[in-house]
Amino acid sequence: MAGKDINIDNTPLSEKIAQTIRSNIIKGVIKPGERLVEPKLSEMLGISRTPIREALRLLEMEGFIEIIPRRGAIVTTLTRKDIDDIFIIKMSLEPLASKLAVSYLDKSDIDRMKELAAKMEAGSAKGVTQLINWNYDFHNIFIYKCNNERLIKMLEGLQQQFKRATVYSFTTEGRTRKVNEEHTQLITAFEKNDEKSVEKIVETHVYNGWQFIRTKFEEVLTEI
Amino acid sequence: MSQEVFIESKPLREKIADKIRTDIIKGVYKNGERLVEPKLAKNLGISRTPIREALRQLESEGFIEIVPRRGAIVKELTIKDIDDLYAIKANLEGLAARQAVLKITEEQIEILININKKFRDIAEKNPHLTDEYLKDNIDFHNIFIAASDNEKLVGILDGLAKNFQRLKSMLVSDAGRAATAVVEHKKIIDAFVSKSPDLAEKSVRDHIISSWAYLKDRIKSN
Repeated sequence: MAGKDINIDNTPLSEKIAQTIRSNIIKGVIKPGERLVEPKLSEMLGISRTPIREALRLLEMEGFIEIIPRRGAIVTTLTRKDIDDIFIIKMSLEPLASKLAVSYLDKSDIDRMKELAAKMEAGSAKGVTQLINWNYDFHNIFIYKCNNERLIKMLEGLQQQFKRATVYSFTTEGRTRKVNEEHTQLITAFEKNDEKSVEKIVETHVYNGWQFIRTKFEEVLTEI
Repeated sequence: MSQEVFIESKPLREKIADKIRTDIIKGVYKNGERLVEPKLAKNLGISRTPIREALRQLESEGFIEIVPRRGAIVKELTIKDIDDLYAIKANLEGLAARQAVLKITEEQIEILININKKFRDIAEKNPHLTDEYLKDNIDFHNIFIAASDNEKLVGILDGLAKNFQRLKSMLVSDAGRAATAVVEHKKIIDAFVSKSPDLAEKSVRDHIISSWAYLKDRIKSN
């Protein structure tokens, strides 16, 4: 694994705290159902409560914790079934969006996709979070061009529930390479306006991501 | 805002949203009509905060649009909107059927068969179909949707169904359409009996696409 990202020093304190908590949840140090108590975290990390509260809000948005009135922040449970249930819906809706987008994507969209694909290929050392964000932007280019408002909203909603699972993506070089290959294939299919191929490639791409995340998730579970 | 208020306003928000949604479906509020917060607050005798929350919920469900400086406006359901909804419905209900193949029980298949028999009877006897027909139709679909055993999928389809209620007046089909639906439902039942995921998905997709084609014709001829 490459060393820490040089930019890490510019990361806001709340994001750093969120990263620490996030990785502890993923590693299973902090368990599902566990309460995250602000004053305790503040004492443990030697940091004031305000950035901690911000970090918790960030983690809530990502679906790692749930903030319940009067009980505080609780680590959410992610089961195998949750992962399967979300991915199977994504596998139905994202290919649909990509197929619909074929007639609406213009050259600038394709260029932007190429740019992001190139960044992802060059930047694996930048760390998982950066790759996840670029990947997210890449997918959003065609999702937002599907010309079906409902579908966009639905995929946005899924994405929120999904973040909790995406942390496992890009955790091996093999998968990162595969993702880049699949993105390149997709760009080519978009350039050819080939609806059938586009739909098929996205379906396979989502499926492969699902299987990878599933395997990683099983590893985490057995480590616990 | 105290936590107390937050907890109590949650069910209240739901209730207000239900009330306004029903009024939109019934046509009490017309397309393009403004929903004015203070007026709603006065009519319902409720403070403005939960009303604002309810309006935000209805916005996410696609019933209203919140326009800066104009407030909440009842969103018209255009043919393009319905097209969009049906595209999603065809995919997701097809998926539900595919997943249901593994889980659906003999008893549930029996219920599907019975509903379809009733359907056929209604179609043969009544030239104008009733609310009962529509209810049975919803039941038929809900049985295999629930059998998909995917809570998130059920939730999404439930949200979509709320939008389709706005089409209810147009959904009152004629006997011809009912007869077609009976044949299409039979294909779905056969797919479940033969335990074929591909067939189940395809038969449900085809059925939804065909009902949309029928409905679109009716809307356009009106």
